[in-house]
Amino acid sequence: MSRFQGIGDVIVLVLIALLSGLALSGVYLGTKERIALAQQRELEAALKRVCPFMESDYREIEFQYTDPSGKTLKIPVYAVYKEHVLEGAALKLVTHEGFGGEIVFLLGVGKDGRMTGLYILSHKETPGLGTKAANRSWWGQFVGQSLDTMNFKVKKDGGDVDAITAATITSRAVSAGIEHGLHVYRAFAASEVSHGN
Amino acid sequence: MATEQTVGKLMKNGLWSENPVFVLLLGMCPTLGVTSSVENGLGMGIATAFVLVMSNLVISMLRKVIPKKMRIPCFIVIIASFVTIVEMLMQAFSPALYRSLGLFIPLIVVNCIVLGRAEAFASKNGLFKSMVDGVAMGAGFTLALAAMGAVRELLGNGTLLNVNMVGSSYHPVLMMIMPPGAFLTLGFLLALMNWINRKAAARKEA
Amino acid sequence: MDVSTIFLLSIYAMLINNVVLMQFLGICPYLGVSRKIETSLGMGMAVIFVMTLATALTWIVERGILVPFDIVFLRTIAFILIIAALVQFVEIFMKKMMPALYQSLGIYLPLITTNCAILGTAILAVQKDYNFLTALVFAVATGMGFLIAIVMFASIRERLDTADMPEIMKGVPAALITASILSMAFMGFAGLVRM
Repeated sequence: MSRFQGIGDVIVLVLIALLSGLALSGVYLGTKERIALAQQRELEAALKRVCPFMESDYREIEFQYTDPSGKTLKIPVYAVYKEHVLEGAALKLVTHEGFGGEIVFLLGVGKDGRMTGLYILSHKETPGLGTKAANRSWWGQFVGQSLDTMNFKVKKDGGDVDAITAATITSRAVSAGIEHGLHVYRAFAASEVSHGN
Repeated sequence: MATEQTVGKLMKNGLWSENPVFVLLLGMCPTLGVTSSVENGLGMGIATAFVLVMSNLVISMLRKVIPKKMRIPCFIVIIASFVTIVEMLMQAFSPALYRSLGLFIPLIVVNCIVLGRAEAFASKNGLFKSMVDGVAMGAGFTLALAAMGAVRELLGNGTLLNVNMVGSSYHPVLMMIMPPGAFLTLGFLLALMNWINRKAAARKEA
Repeated sequence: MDVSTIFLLSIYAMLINNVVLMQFLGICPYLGVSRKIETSLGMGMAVIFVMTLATALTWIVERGILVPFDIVFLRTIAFILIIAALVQFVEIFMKKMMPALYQSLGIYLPLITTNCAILGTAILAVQKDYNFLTALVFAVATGMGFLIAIVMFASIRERLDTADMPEIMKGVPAALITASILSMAFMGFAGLVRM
Protein backbone atom coordinates (compact mmCIF):
# COMPACT_ATOMS: atom_id res chain seq x y z
CA MET A 1 0.00 0.00 0.00
CA SER A 2 2.75 2.44 0.97
CA ARG A 3 4.78 1.59 -2.13
CA PHE A 4 1.85 2.40 -4.41
CA GLN A 5 1.39 5.61 -2.46
CA GLY A 6 5.04 6.46 -3.11
CA ILE A 7 4.73 5.87 -6.85
CA GLY A 8 1.48 7.81 -6.96
CA ASP A 9 3.25 10.74 -5.32
CA VAL A 10 6.04 10.68 -7.88
CA ILE A 11 3.52 10.51 -10.73
CA VAL A 12 1.78 13.63 -9.47
CA LEU A 13 5.13 15.41 -9.28
CA VAL A 14 6.03 14.34 -12.81
CA LEU A 15 2.63 15.45 -14.12
CA ILE A 16 3.00 18.86 -12.51
CA ALA A 17 6.52 19.12 -13.92
CA LEU A 18 5.28 18.24 -17.40
CA LEU A 19 2.47 20.77 -17.26
CA SER A 20 4.89 23.43 -16.07
CA GLY A 21 7.31 22.54 -18.82
CA LEU A 22 4.55 22.93 -21.40
CA ALA A 23 3.42 26.26 -19.99
CA LEU A 24 6.99 27.52 -19.94
CA SER A 25 7.69 26.42 -23.50
CA GLY A 26 4.56 28.26 -24.55
CA VAL A 27 5.59 31.50 -22.89
CA TYR A 28 9.12 31.04 -24.21
CA LEU A 29 7.96 30.72 -27.80
CA GLY A 30 5.61 33.61 -27.34
CA THR A 31 8.22 35.98 -25.98
CA LYS A 32 11.28 34.78 -27.90
CA GLU A 33 10.86 37.12 -30.81
CA ARG A 34 9.97 40.06 -28.66
CA ILE A 35 13.04 39.56 -26.53
CA ALA A 36 15.30 39.33 -29.57
CA LEU A 37 13.68 42.45 -30.98
CA ALA A 38 14.14 44.35 -27.71
CA GLN A 39 17.81 43.38 -27.56
CA GLN A 40 18.30 44.41 -31.17
CA ARG A 41 16.62 47.74 -30.57
CA GLU A 42 18.80 48.40 -27.53
CA LEU A 43 21.96 47.63 -29.47
CA GLU A 44 20.94 49.91 -32.30
CA ALA A 45 20.09 52.71 -29.89
CA ALA A 46 23.54 52.39 -28.33
CA LEU A 47 25.22 52.28 -31.75
CA LYS A 48 23.43 55.42 -32.86
CA ARG A 49 24.53 57.19 -29.70
CA VAL A 50 28.20 56.54 -30.33
CA CYS A 51 27.98 56.95 -34.11
CA PRO A 52 25.71 59.93 -34.70
CA PHE A 53 26.63 59.77 -38.38
CA MET A 54 24.92 56.41 -38.67
CA GLU A 55 21.92 56.99 -40.91
CA SER A 56 21.11 53.59 -42.24
CA ASP A 57 22.20 50.04 -41.83
CA TYR A 58 25.47 48.93 -40.40
CA ARG A 59 27.44 45.80 -41.06
CA GLU A 60 28.50 43.62 -38.18
CA ILE A 61 31.98 42.24 -38.68
CA GLU A 62 34.22 40.24 -36.39
CA PHE A 63 37.60 41.79 -36.87
CA GLN A 64 40.79 39.92 -36.02
CA TYR A 65 43.17 42.42 -34.51
CA THR A 66 46.76 41.68 -33.59
CA ASP A 67 48.06 44.10 -31.01
CA PRO A 68 51.70 45.23 -30.78
CA SER A 69 52.47 42.52 -28.25
CA GLY A 70 51.39 39.88 -30.75
CA LYS A 71 48.12 38.89 -29.11
CA THR A 72 45.20 38.40 -31.48
CA LEU A 73 41.79 39.66 -30.40
CA LYS A 74 38.41 39.16 -32.01
CA ILE A 75 36.68 42.49 -31.89
CA PRO A 76 33.04 43.06 -32.95
CA VAL A 77 32.96 45.99 -35.35
CA TYR A 78 29.71 47.61 -36.44
CA ALA A 79 30.80 49.34 -39.63
CA VAL A 80 28.84 52.10 -41.31
CA TYR A 81 29.06 52.58 -45.06
CA LYS A 82 27.80 55.38 -47.26
CA GLU A 83 27.71 54.35 -50.90
CA HIS A 84 30.22 51.57 -50.24
CA VAL A 85 32.67 53.91 -48.56
CA LEU A 86 33.57 53.35 -44.93
CA GLU A 87 32.16 56.26 -42.91
CA GLY A 88 33.13 55.00 -39.51
CA ALA A 89 32.31 52.27 -37.04
CA ALA A 90 31.41 51.36 -33.52
CA LEU A 91 33.69 48.91 -31.79
CA LYS A 92 32.82 46.78 -28.81
CA LEU A 93 35.86 46.78 -26.57
CA VAL A 94 36.87 45.40 -23.22
CA THR A 95 39.43 46.63 -20.72
CA HIS A 96 40.38 44.81 -17.55
CA GLU A 97 42.20 47.78 -16.08
CA GLY A 98 39.18 49.29 -14.36
CA PHE A 99 39.13 49.80 -10.61
CA GLY A 100 36.63 47.01 -10.22
CA GLY A 101 37.96 45.06 -13.14
CA GLU A 102 36.24 44.61 -16.45
CA ILE A 103 34.70 47.50 -18.37
CA VAL A 104 32.88 46.75 -21.62
CA PHE A 105 32.14 49.72 -23.85
CA LEU A 106 31.18 50.83 -27.33
CA LEU A 107 33.54 53.27 -29.00
CA GLY A 108 32.34 55.30 -31.95
CA VAL A 109 34.94 56.32 -34.52
CA GLY A 110 34.26 58.46 -37.54
CA LYS A 111 36.13 59.63 -40.61
CA ASP A 112 39.84 60.26 -40.18
CA GLY A 113 39.83 58.07 -37.12
CA ARG A 114 38.23 60.70 -34.92
CA MET A 115 36.37 59.61 -31.81
CA THR A 116 32.62 60.27 -32.01
CA GLY A 117 31.14 58.71 -28.90
CA LEU A 118 31.41 56.40 -25.92
CA TYR A 119 28.82 54.14 -24.36
CA ILE A 120 29.64 52.00 -21.36
CA LEU A 121 27.88 48.65 -21.53
CA SER A 122 29.00 47.10 -18.27
CA HIS A 123 31.40 47.93 -15.48
CA LYS A 124 32.15 47.43 -11.81
CA GLU A 125 33.34 50.91 -10.99
CA THR A 126 32.50 52.84 -7.85
CA PRO A 127 29.07 54.45 -8.02
CA GLY A 128 29.31 58.22 -8.07
CA LEU A 129 33.01 58.19 -8.87
CA GLY A 130 34.14 55.80 -11.57
CA THR A 131 30.62 55.72 -12.98
CA LYS A 132 31.11 59.33 -14.08
CA ALA A 133 33.14 57.90 -16.96
CA ALA A 134 29.83 57.15 -18.68
CA ASN A 135 28.81 60.80 -18.72
CA ARG A 136 29.36 62.90 -21.78
CA SER A 137 30.47 65.67 -19.47
CA TRP A 138 33.63 63.64 -18.96
CA TRP A 139 34.23 61.70 -22.19
CA GLY A 140 33.21 64.69 -24.27
CA GLN A 141 36.84 65.75 -24.08
CA PHE A 142 37.70 62.89 -26.44
CA VAL A 143 35.15 63.74 -29.12
CA GLY A 144 36.76 64.82 -32.36
CA GLN A 145 40.18 63.69 -31.18
CA SER A 146 42.24 61.10 -32.94
CA LEU A 147 45.49 59.24 -32.35
CA ASP A 148 47.39 62.16 -33.91
CA THR A 149 45.76 65.00 -32.03
CA MET A 150 45.73 63.83 -28.44
CA ASN A 151 47.93 62.17 -25.87
CA PHE A 152 45.64 59.64 -24.18
CA LYS A 153 47.35 59.58 -20.83
CA VAL A 154 45.87 61.45 -17.87
CA LYS A 155 47.43 64.82 -17.05
CA LYS A 156 49.01 63.29 -13.96
CA ASP A 157 50.94 60.96 -16.24
CA GLY A 158 51.95 63.73 -18.64
CA GLY A 159 49.07 63.45 -21.08
CA ASP A 160 46.10 65.55 -22.14
CA VAL A 161 43.26 63.76 -20.39
CA ASP A 162 41.38 65.42 -17.53
CA ALA A 163 40.92 62.58 -15.06
CA ILE A 164 37.78 62.21 -12.95
CA THR A 165 38.47 63.52 -9.47
CA ALA A 166 39.10 60.61 -7.09
CA ALA A 167 38.70 58.12 -9.94
CA THR A 168 42.12 58.14 -11.55
CA ILE A 169 42.28 54.41 -12.11
CA THR A 170 38.95 54.40 -13.94
CA SER A 171 40.03 57.42 -15.99
CA ARG A 172 43.30 55.73 -16.95
CA ALA A 173 41.53 52.53 -17.90
CA VAL A 174 38.93 54.18 -20.12
CA SER A 175 41.44 56.54 -21.78
CA ALA A 176 43.74 53.64 -22.56
CA GLY A 177 40.74 51.72 -23.81
CA ILE A 178 39.77 54.54 -26.15
CA GLU A 179 43.33 54.80 -27.46
CA HIS A 180 43.42 51.07 -28.03
CA GLY A 181 40.08 51.28 -29.82
CA LEU A 182 41.37 53.98 -32.14
CA HIS A 183 44.32 51.74 -33.02
CA VAL A 184 41.94 48.90 -33.77
CA TYR A 185 39.84 51.15 -36.01
CA ARG A 186 42.94 52.28 -37.86
CA ALA A 187 43.87 48.66 -38.52
CA PHE A 188 40.30 47.87 -39.53
CA ALA A 189 40.07 50.80 -41.94
CA ALA A 190 43.38 49.81 -43.46
CA SER A 191 42.21 46.24 -43.96
CA GLU A 192 39.03 47.52 -45.63
CA VAL A 193 41.09 49.54 -48.09
CA SER A 194 43.32 46.58 -48.86
CA HIS A 195 40.23 44.45 -49.49
CA GLY A 196 39.14 46.97 -52.06
CA ASN A 197 36.20 48.39 -50.15
CA MET B 1 -19.91 40.43 5.15
CA ALA B 2 -17.73 37.73 6.61
CA THR B 3 -15.60 37.62 3.45
CA GLU B 4 -15.03 41.38 3.53
CA GLN B 5 -13.83 41.21 7.09
CA THR B 6 -11.44 38.42 6.21
CA VAL B 7 -10.14 40.25 3.16
CA GLY B 8 -9.55 43.37 5.21
CA LYS B 9 -7.83 41.39 7.90
CA LEU B 10 -5.64 39.57 5.42
CA MET B 11 -4.62 42.82 3.75
CA LYS B 12 -3.76 44.47 7.06
CA ASN B 13 -1.79 41.38 7.95
CA GLY B 14 0.31 41.38 4.85
CA LEU B 15 0.86 45.11 4.82
CA TRP B 16 1.64 45.70 8.47
CA SER B 17 1.12 43.28 11.34
CA GLU B 18 2.77 40.38 9.55
CA ASN B 19 4.73 42.34 6.98
CA PRO B 20 6.97 39.75 5.38
CA VAL B 21 10.11 41.87 5.57
CA PHE B 22 9.78 44.00 8.65
CA VAL B 23 7.99 41.52 10.90
CA LEU B 24 8.53 38.02 9.56
CA LEU B 25 12.09 38.90 8.48
CA LEU B 26 11.75 36.96 5.24
CA GLY B 27 13.02 37.87 1.79
CA MET B 28 15.99 39.80 3.12
CA CYS B 29 18.26 39.21 0.15
CA PRO B 30 16.29 41.17 -2.45
CA THR B 31 15.35 43.75 0.19
CA LEU B 32 19.01 44.57 0.58
CA GLY B 33 20.14 43.80 -2.93
CA VAL B 34 17.81 45.70 -5.25
CA THR B 35 16.75 48.72 -3.25
CA SER B 36 19.34 51.25 -4.37
CA SER B 37 16.48 53.02 -6.12
CA VAL B 38 12.72 53.19 -5.74
CA GLU B 39 12.24 52.00 -9.30
CA ASN B 40 14.21 48.80 -8.74
CA GLY B 41 12.45 48.15 -5.45
CA LEU B 42 9.03 48.57 -7.03
CA GLY B 43 9.96 46.42 -10.01
CA MET B 44 11.18 43.60 -7.83
CA GLY B 45 8.22 43.92 -5.48
CA ILE B 46 5.70 43.67 -8.29
CA ALA B 47 7.51 40.75 -9.91
CA THR B 48 7.59 38.87 -6.62
CA ALA B 49 3.96 39.73 -5.94
CA PHE B 50 3.01 38.26 -9.30
CA VAL B 51 4.82 35.02 -8.52
CA LEU B 52 3.30 34.97 -5.03
CA VAL B 53 -0.28 35.43 -6.23
CA MET B 54 -0.03 32.97 -9.11
CA SER B 55 1.74 30.27 -7.16
CA ASN B 56 -0.65 30.68 -4.23
CA LEU B 57 -3.54 30.30 -6.67
CA VAL B 58 -2.22 27.21 -8.38
CA ILE B 59 -1.08 25.54 -5.17
CA SER B 60 -4.40 26.22 -3.55
CA MET B 61 -6.16 24.81 -6.61
CA LEU B 62 -4.08 21.65 -6.43
CA ARG B 63 -3.92 21.38 -2.66
CA LYS B 64 -6.04 18.25 -2.51
CA VAL B 65 -3.98 16.60 -5.22
CA ILE B 66 -0.46 17.41 -4.10
CA PRO B 67 0.87 14.56 -1.97
CA LYS B 68 2.05 15.49 1.51
CA LYS B 69 5.44 13.84 1.24
CA MET B 70 6.23 15.34 -2.15
CA ARG B 71 4.81 18.74 -1.43
CA ILE B 72 8.02 20.75 -1.27
CA PRO B 73 9.30 19.60 -4.68
CA CYS B 74 5.84 20.21 -6.16
CA PHE B 75 5.72 23.71 -4.68
CA ILE B 76 9.19 24.36 -6.04
CA VAL B 77 8.27 23.30 -9.57
CA ILE B 78 5.18 25.50 -9.57
CA ILE B 79 6.95 28.50 -8.06
CA ALA B 80 9.98 28.12 -10.32
CA SER B 81 7.71 28.02 -13.37
CA PHE B 82 6.10 31.33 -12.51
CA VAL B 83 9.50 32.85 -11.75
CA THR B 84 10.70 31.78 -15.19
CA ILE B 85 7.56 33.26 -16.75
CA VAL B 86 8.23 36.55 -14.96
CA GLU B 87 11.84 36.41 -16.16
CA MET B 88 10.77 36.01 -19.78
CA LEU B 89 8.03 38.62 -19.62
CA MET B 90 10.38 41.13 -18.05
CA GLN B 91 13.09 40.45 -20.61
CA ALA B 92 10.57 41.02 -23.37
CA PHE B 93 8.72 44.05 -22.07
CA SER B 94 11.14 45.80 -19.74
CA PRO B 95 14.73 44.92 -20.62
CA ALA B 96 16.25 47.82 -18.70
CA LEU B 97 14.58 46.72 -15.46
CA TYR B 98 15.57 43.13 -16.25
CA ARG B 99 19.21 44.17 -16.39
CA SER B 100 19.01 46.27 -13.19
CA LEU B 101 17.48 43.46 -11.16
CA GLY B 102 19.82 40.91 -12.70
CA LEU B 103 20.53 37.84 -10.62
CA PHE B 104 17.75 38.59 -8.13
CA ILE B 105 14.98 37.70 -10.59
CA PRO B 106 15.66 33.97 -10.70
CA LEU B 107 16.37 34.18 -6.97
CA ILE B 108 12.66 34.92 -6.39
CA VAL B 109 12.29 31.17 -6.43
CA VAL B 110 14.18 30.88 -3.13
CA ASN B 111 12.53 33.91 -1.62
CA CYS B 112 11.36 32.46 1.68
CA ILE B 113 8.16 34.49 1.45
CA VAL B 114 6.89 32.60 -1.57
CA LEU B 115 7.67 29.11 -0.31
CA GLY B 116 6.63 30.13 3.18
CA ARG B 117 3.17 31.31 2.16
CA ALA B 118 2.68 28.27 -0.05
CA GLU B 119 3.36 26.01 2.91
CA ALA B 120 1.65 28.04 5.61
CA PHE B 121 -1.40 29.29 3.75
CA ALA B 122 -2.08 28.28 0.18
CA SER B 123 -1.82 24.58 0.81
CA LYS B 124 -4.44 24.85 3.51
CA ASN B 125 -6.90 27.44 2.28
CA GLY B 126 -9.36 28.07 -0.51
CA LEU B 127 -8.67 29.77 -3.81
CA PHE B 128 -9.99 33.23 -3.01
CA LYS B 129 -8.34 33.50 0.39
CA SER B 130 -5.04 32.26 -0.96
CA MET B 131 -5.16 34.81 -3.73
CA VAL B 132 -5.91 37.63 -1.31
CA ASP B 133 -3.10 36.45 0.96
CA GLY B 134 -0.79 36.53 -2.03
CA VAL B 135 -1.87 40.05 -2.90
CA ALA B 136 -1.53 41.19 0.72
CA MET B 137 1.92 39.71 1.26
CA GLY B 138 3.02 40.91 -2.17
CA ALA B 139 1.81 44.41 -1.37
CA GLY B 140 3.55 44.34 2.00
CA PHE B 141 6.77 43.21 0.35
CA THR B 142 6.52 45.88 -2.34
CA LEU B 143 5.84 48.49 0.31
CA ALA B 144 8.91 47.45 2.27
CA LEU B 145 11.10 47.49 -0.84
CA ALA B 146 9.76 50.88 -1.89
CA ALA B 147 10.43 52.30 1.58
CA MET B 148 13.99 50.99 1.51
CA GLY B 149 14.45 52.27 -2.01
CA ALA B 150 13.11 55.69 -1.13
CA VAL B 151 15.46 56.19 1.82
CA ARG B 152 18.51 54.92 -0.04
CA GLU B 153 17.83 56.76 -3.27
CA LEU B 154 16.98 60.04 -1.59
CA LEU B 155 20.00 60.07 0.70
CA GLY B 156 22.41 58.40 -1.67
CA ASN B 157 21.47 60.08 -4.94
CA GLY B 158 19.27 63.01 -4.08
CA THR B 159 16.50 61.69 -6.27
CA LEU B 160 13.24 59.79 -5.99
CA LEU B 161 12.21 57.79 -9.04
CA ASN B 162 15.04 59.61 -10.84
CA VAL B 163 13.46 62.98 -10.15
CA ASN B 164 15.84 65.33 -8.42
CA MET B 165 14.50 66.22 -5.01
CA VAL B 166 17.31 68.22 -3.51
CA GLY B 167 19.29 71.29 -4.43
CA SER B 168 22.71 71.19 -5.99
CA SER B 169 24.34 71.99 -2.68
CA TYR B 170 23.40 68.55 -1.36
CA HIS B 171 26.27 66.11 -1.51
CA PRO B 172 24.76 62.66 -1.83
CA VAL B 173 25.83 60.14 0.79
CA LEU B 174 27.18 57.63 -1.72
CA MET B 175 27.44 54.94 0.88
CA MET B 176 23.67 54.68 0.97
CA ILE B 177 23.47 53.19 -2.51
CA MET B 178 26.26 50.77 -1.74
CA PRO B 179 26.10 47.61 0.38
CA PRO B 180 26.76 49.16 3.82
CA GLY B 181 23.94 51.61 3.21
CA ALA B 182 21.53 48.78 2.58
CA PHE B 183 22.23 47.09 5.91
CA LEU B 184 22.12 50.40 7.70
CA THR B 185 18.78 51.45 6.22
CA LEU B 186 17.12 48.15 7.00
CA GLY B 187 18.49 48.20 10.54
CA PHE B 188 17.06 51.64 11.20
CA LEU B 189 13.75 50.90 9.51
CA LEU B 190 13.35 47.83 11.72
CA ALA B 191 14.21 49.88 14.79
CA LEU B 192 11.60 52.39 13.65
CA MET B 193 8.99 49.65 13.39
CA ASN B 194 9.90 48.46 16.88
CA TRP B 195 9.46 51.99 18.16
CA ILE B 196 6.05 52.39 16.47
CA ASN B 197 4.85 49.05 17.82
CA ARG B 198 5.98 49.90 21.32
CA LYS B 199 4.16 53.20 21.23
CA ALA B 200 1.01 51.47 20.01
CA ALA B 201 1.26 48.82 22.72
CA ALA B 202 1.83 51.46 25.39
CA ARG B 203 -1.20 53.39 24.16
CA LYS B 204 -3.34 50.26 24.32
CA GLU B 205 -2.36 49.67 27.91
CA ALA B 206 -3.01 53.27 28.89
CA MET C 1 44.29 27.44 -15.65
CA ASP C 2 47.38 28.60 -13.83
CA VAL C 3 47.82 28.73 -10.10
CA SER C 4 48.05 32.51 -9.87
CA THR C 5 44.71 33.01 -11.62
CA ILE C 6 43.10 30.45 -9.33
CA PHE C 7 44.56 32.22 -6.33
CA LEU C 8 43.38 35.63 -7.53
CA LEU C 9 39.91 34.34 -8.31
CA SER C 10 39.72 32.86 -4.81
CA ILE C 11 40.67 36.14 -3.20
CA TYR C 12 38.17 37.92 -5.38
CA ALA C 13 35.30 35.56 -4.57
CA MET C 14 36.15 35.30 -0.88
CA LEU C 15 36.87 38.87 0.09
CA ILE C 16 36.44 41.50 -2.59
CA ASN C 17 33.11 40.31 -3.87
CA ASN C 18 32.05 38.64 -0.63
CA VAL C 19 28.86 36.71 -1.16
CA VAL C 20 27.02 38.05 1.88
CA LEU C 21 28.46 41.50 2.51
CA MET C 22 28.78 42.62 -1.10
CA GLN C 23 26.36 40.51 -3.13
CA PHE C 24 23.60 40.18 -0.52
CA LEU C 25 23.19 36.45 -0.99
CA GLY C 26 22.52 34.19 1.95
CA ILE C 27 21.23 36.89 4.28
CA CYS C 28 18.49 34.79 5.91
CA PRO C 29 20.83 32.16 7.34
CA TYR C 30 23.38 34.89 7.96
CA LEU C 31 21.02 36.70 10.29
CA GLY C 32 19.30 33.61 11.58
CA VAL C 33 22.16 31.33 12.50
CA SER C 34 24.84 33.77 13.57
CA ARG C 35 24.06 34.14 17.24
CA LYS C 36 26.78 31.74 18.29
CA ILE C 37 30.18 31.05 16.80
CA GLU C 38 29.71 27.26 16.95
CA THR C 39 26.52 27.21 14.93
CA SER C 40 27.98 29.70 12.48
CA LEU C 41 30.98 27.49 11.92
CA GLY C 42 28.68 24.55 11.30
CA MET C 43 26.50 26.47 8.88
CA GLY C 44 29.55 27.83 7.06
CA MET C 45 31.02 24.36 6.55
CA ALA C 46 27.68 23.02 5.37
CA VAL C 47 27.40 25.87 2.90
CA ILE C 48 30.87 25.26 1.44
CA PHE C 49 30.07 21.61 1.03
CA VAL C 50 26.65 22.01 -0.59
CA MET C 51 27.69 25.01 -2.66
CA THR C 52 30.58 23.15 -4.27
CA LEU C 53 28.54 20.06 -5.03
CA ALA C 54 25.61 22.10 -6.29
CA THR C 55 27.76 24.24 -8.57
CA ALA C 56 29.44 21.14 -9.96
CA LEU C 57 26.14 19.40 -10.71
CA THR C 58 24.36 22.43 -12.12
CA TRP C 59 27.37 23.22 -14.31
CA ILE C 60 27.21 19.75 -15.78
CA VAL C 61 23.48 20.03 -16.41
CA GLU C 62 23.85 23.44 -18.01
CA ARG C 63 26.64 22.43 -20.37
CA GLY C 64 25.44 18.90 -20.93
CA ILE C 65 21.69 19.33 -21.29
CA LEU C 66 20.37 22.88 -21.25
CA VAL C 67 22.73 24.39 -23.80
CA PRO C 68 22.88 21.53 -26.32
CA PHE C 69 19.09 21.24 -26.35
CA ASP C 70 18.57 25.00 -26.38
CA ILE C 71 16.39 24.97 -23.31
CA VAL C 72 18.35 27.44 -21.23
CA PHE C 73 15.09 29.10 -20.24
CA LEU C 74 14.51 26.08 -18.02
CA ARG C 75 17.62 26.91 -16.02
CA THR C 76 15.89 28.29 -12.92
CA ILE C 77 13.61 25.26 -12.56
CA ALA C 78 16.36 22.76 -13.30
CA PHE C 79 18.87 24.31 -10.93
CA ILE C 80 16.56 24.64 -7.95
CA LEU C 81 15.30 21.08 -8.36
CA ILE C 82 18.86 19.81 -8.52
CA ILE C 83 19.74 21.74 -5.38
CA ALA C 84 16.67 20.50 -3.51
CA ALA C 85 17.34 16.92 -4.54
CA LEU C 86 21.05 17.24 -3.73
CA VAL C 87 20.32 18.48 -0.22
CA GLN C 88 17.90 15.59 0.34
CA PHE C 89 20.46 13.03 -0.76
CA VAL C 90 23.25 14.63 1.23
CA GLU C 91 21.06 14.56 4.32
CA ILE C 92 20.17 10.89 3.89
CA PHE C 93 23.73 9.94 3.02
CA MET C 94 25.14 11.84 5.95
CA LYS C 95 22.63 10.36 8.37
CA LYS C 96 23.57 6.82 7.38
CA MET C 97 27.26 7.09 6.61
CA MET C 98 28.59 9.90 8.76
CA PRO C 99 26.36 10.13 11.85
CA ALA C 100 28.88 12.20 13.77
CA LEU C 101 29.04 14.81 11.02
CA TYR C 102 25.26 14.68 10.71
CA GLN C 103 24.93 15.56 14.38
CA SER C 104 26.86 18.77 13.92
CA LEU C 105 25.92 19.85 10.39
CA GLY C 106 22.75 17.96 9.59
CA ILE C 107 20.24 20.37 11.00
CA TYR C 108 21.44 23.15 8.71
CA LEU C 109 20.92 21.19 5.54
CA PRO C 110 17.17 21.79 5.01
CA LEU C 111 17.76 25.49 5.57
CA ILE C 112 20.32 25.49 2.82
CA THR C 113 17.84 24.63 0.06
CA THR C 114 16.35 28.10 0.24
CA ASN C 115 19.72 29.72 0.76
CA CYS C 116 19.90 32.09 -2.17
CA ALA C 117 23.68 31.97 -1.99
CA ILE C 118 23.67 28.41 -3.30
CA LEU C 119 21.38 29.07 -6.24
CA GLY C 120 22.99 32.44 -6.86
CA THR C 121 26.50 31.05 -7.03
CA ALA C 122 25.43 28.22 -9.31
CA ILE C 123 23.82 30.67 -11.72
CA LEU C 124 26.80 33.05 -11.61
CA ALA C 125 29.24 30.26 -12.40
CA VAL C 126 27.45 29.46 -15.67
CA GLN C 127 26.68 33.08 -16.49
CA LYS C 128 30.35 33.93 -16.30
CA ASP C 129 31.10 31.01 -18.59
CA TYR C 130 33.65 29.42 -16.26
CA ASN C 131 35.11 26.07 -17.16
CA PHE C 132 34.51 23.22 -14.74
CA LEU C 133 37.64 23.67 -12.65
CA THR C 134 37.20 27.42 -12.41
CA ALA C 135 33.57 26.99 -11.40
CA LEU C 136 34.63 24.63 -8.59
CA VAL C 137 37.26 27.06 -7.33
CA PHE C 138 34.71 29.85 -7.53
CA ALA C 139 32.21 27.83 -5.50
CA VAL C 140 34.68 26.82 -2.80
CA ALA C 141 36.01 30.36 -2.47
CA THR C 142 32.52 31.84 -2.34
CA GLY C 143 31.56 29.35 0.35
CA MET C 144 34.65 30.25 2.32
CA GLY C 145 33.72 33.89 1.99
CA PHE C 146 30.38 33.03 3.56
CA LEU C 147 32.15 31.17 6.37
CA ILE C 148 34.48 34.07 7.08
CA ALA C 149 31.66 36.58 7.05
CA ILE C 150 29.32 34.58 9.28
CA VAL C 151 31.93 33.59 11.86
CA MET C 152 33.17 37.18 12.09
CA PHE C 153 29.59 38.31 12.48
CA ALA C 154 28.84 35.74 15.16
CA SER C 155 31.83 36.69 17.25
CA ILE C 156 30.59 40.27 17.29
CA ARG C 157 26.99 39.32 17.96
CA GLU C 158 27.93 37.16 20.91
CA ARG C 159 29.23 40.29 22.58
CA LEU C 160 26.41 42.49 21.36
CA ASP C 161 23.89 40.36 23.19
CA THR C 162 25.24 41.50 26.52
CA ALA C 163 25.81 45.10 25.49
CA ASP C 164 23.73 47.99 26.69
CA MET C 165 21.60 49.61 24.00
CA PRO C 166 18.14 51.12 23.32
CA GLU C 167 15.32 48.56 23.40
CA ILE C 168 14.26 49.21 19.84
CA MET C 169 17.73 48.39 18.59
CA LYS C 170 18.07 45.06 20.31
CA GLY C 171 18.28 41.97 18.20
CA VAL C 172 18.08 42.24 14.44
CA PRO C 173 18.45 46.04 14.05
CA ALA C 174 21.75 46.00 15.94
CA ALA C 175 22.84 42.99 13.95
CA LEU C 176 22.14 44.81 10.69
CA ILE C 177 24.08 47.88 11.76
CA THR C 178 26.96 45.56 12.60
CA ALA C 179 26.69 43.99 9.18
CA SER C 180 26.78 47.47 7.70
CA ILE C 181 30.10 48.18 9.36
CA LEU C 182 31.50 44.80 8.38
CA SER C 183 30.41 45.49 4.82
CA MET C 184 32.23 48.82 4.92
CA ALA C 185 35.34 47.05 6.14
CA PHE C 186 35.13 44.56 3.30
CA MET C 187 34.75 47.37 0.81
CA GLY C 188 38.31 48.23 1.71
CA PHE C 189 39.37 45.20 -0.28
CA ALA C 190 38.09 46.75 -3.49
CA GLY C 191 40.69 47.08 -6.17
CA LEU C 192 42.96 44.46 -4.59
CA VAL C 193 42.38 42.09 -7.45
CA ARG C 194 41.06 42.95 -10.88
CA MET C 195 38.68 40.41 -12.35
